[in-house]
Amino acid sequence: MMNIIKIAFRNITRQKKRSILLGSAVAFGVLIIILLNGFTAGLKETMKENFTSLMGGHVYVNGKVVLPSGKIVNMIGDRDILDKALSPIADEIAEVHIRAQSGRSEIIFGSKSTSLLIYGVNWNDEKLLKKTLTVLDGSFKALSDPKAIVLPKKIADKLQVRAGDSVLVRLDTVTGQRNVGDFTVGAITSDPGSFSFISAGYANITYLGELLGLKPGGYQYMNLYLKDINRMDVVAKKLRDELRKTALLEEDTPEDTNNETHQRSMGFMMGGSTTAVKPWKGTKFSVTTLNDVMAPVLQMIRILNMVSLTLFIILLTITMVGLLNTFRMVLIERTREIGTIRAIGMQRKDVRNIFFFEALFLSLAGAAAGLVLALIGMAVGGAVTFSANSNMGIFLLNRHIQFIASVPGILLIIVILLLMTLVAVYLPARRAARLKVADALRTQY
Amino acid sequence: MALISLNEVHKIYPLGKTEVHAVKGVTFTIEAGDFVSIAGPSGSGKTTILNMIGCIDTPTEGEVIIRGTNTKELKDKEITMLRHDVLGFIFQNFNLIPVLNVYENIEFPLLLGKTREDKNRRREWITHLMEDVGLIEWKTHKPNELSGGQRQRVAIARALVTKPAIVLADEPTANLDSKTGENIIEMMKKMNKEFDTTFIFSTHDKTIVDIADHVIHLKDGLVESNSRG
Repeated sequence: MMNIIKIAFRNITRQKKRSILLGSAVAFGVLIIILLNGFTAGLKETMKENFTSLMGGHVYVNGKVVLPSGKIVNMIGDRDILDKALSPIADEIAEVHIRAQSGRSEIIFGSKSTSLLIYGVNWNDEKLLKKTLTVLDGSFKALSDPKAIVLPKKIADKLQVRAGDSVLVRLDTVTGQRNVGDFTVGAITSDPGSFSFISAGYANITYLGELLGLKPGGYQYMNLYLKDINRMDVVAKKLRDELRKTALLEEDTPEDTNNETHQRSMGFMMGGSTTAVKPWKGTKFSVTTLNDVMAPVLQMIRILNMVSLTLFIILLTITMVGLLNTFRMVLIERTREIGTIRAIGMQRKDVRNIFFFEALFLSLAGAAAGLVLALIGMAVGGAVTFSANSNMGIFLLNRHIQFIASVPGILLIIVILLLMTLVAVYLPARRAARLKVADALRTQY
Repeated sequence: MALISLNEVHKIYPLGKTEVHAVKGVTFTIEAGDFVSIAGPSGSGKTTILNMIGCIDTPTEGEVIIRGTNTKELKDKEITMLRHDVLGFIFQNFNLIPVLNVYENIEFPLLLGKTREDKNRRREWITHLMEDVGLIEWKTHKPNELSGGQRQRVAIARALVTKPAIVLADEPTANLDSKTGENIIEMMKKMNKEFDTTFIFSTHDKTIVDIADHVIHLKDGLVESNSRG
């Protein structure tokens, strides 16, 4: 067998230009697919991380309460029910963040005003959020001021405010009353991208809760950071099951109000109230996950993956046709040589194996070159630092594109490539093995 | 028992819509240790007969018996093994493997067999053959770095490396100048004596035919004469 491998390996060097061209075609295909896969895998992880930080967790619990007037308000009223429901999944939870949310509020500076979604957060707990937001003006130190607000750059530019300026915020309380509060711009951060619900302002939960008319210590959302992000759907299901035992679930009675998950994921959810179609008692809970929120993004990544797979299939097909034609040529060029080695005692299967090994070496060399180029491409692409003002903020991790080279993914690509190589070379290899020795020796090539 | 027997062998080749009757009922025997020349003009059937003795072609009719085995009854795998174990080939165009050097070309048939000799013994044997054919200094050279005569000497060493009972040479001197051609035949004769290997070569060169001790003359696909010297 070593003899066959040696001949196959040396045969590659016989037509150097042809081998280099064919190897380059394989390398190009592998380069593109690994680069694209690395990009989409990185994008998925980056966005997961950014969304997790900005949304404040992996599993989100919110509640709705019907007031005696029939209006629905967003708030978690029965906290003891929620605390009880959390205890069976306590081992899965790494951190719990509570948040309030103002809905679209009017922010006013001088004669200018614009609308903005404001999250009330506990700055001492939300360390990941701070890490995700890139400060362009001011500093997070200013957030020790309970009236400090963090504004995205787009809003700050519209209002022409700078860190340290005072702004007014007009918002609706949870009961639908108008209220006004004054804030100090603590920091201006880069916009994370074109996702409107993420392009939000952040303020201290105590102060915002006060303005929203929540009871002291009250909140509207509880966001859970899990120890294992992959368990989010399982944990969400467990939590729903626990809550279902003693409370109502939005997911069970969606006809009572509008479906909030969709609104939330699209960034339209308002902090104000709507009227209940069928009133209920206590808090009606809703449990959503990062996967629900990221559904449009995951869909986009799926499309990207489909595009890269289609591209891979096209490139692979072109390369395989090239490989098939090359080995048909090889068969013609080496007919007499095949006759000779068969005459001196080589079995048919060994002749076939020479073709297989030769093609495999060529594909492997191309794949190795493509892999190296892809890794270099990823390193170079990942090293580019994007502007803090970039509109691609949500796609960036610390202002860099993240590429993830998955070893199983790369191995799968190489295995598919090698299998396709064997399929492409099978026919010429079989013909070579079946050549009649006397006819092959008579050939004049 | 004769080493090789041909009984009423016919070979018909299809040629477009017609047929060519290349061998028209040939019968002869060859004994072990013979130095045989199959002589005749172009188209007389020399190569076809050598191909059938070498089991790289099959007769349309008749029998080719080698060491008591009717080659017609063998499957491809068995025929390939027979070629490897019993036969050695020397071709008119040398037919060396271009990617292998002199040593590797000679060694090549040994690596195709079922049984593998000890590496050191193998090296000793190949070195001995290279010394015999005068190519020891060229052992690392590729075929394209050798002259025609040198290439044919590599082919002789390669044909003998498996210690075959029979070596077939199809016009081994056709692509060589007359002096080199004579040297090659002398070398084959020397190997015939040294290893007691049966050599069968085809030629249309009368000066070379005379060196053989068993000459089979062919004409138009038939044996014209069959004489032992």
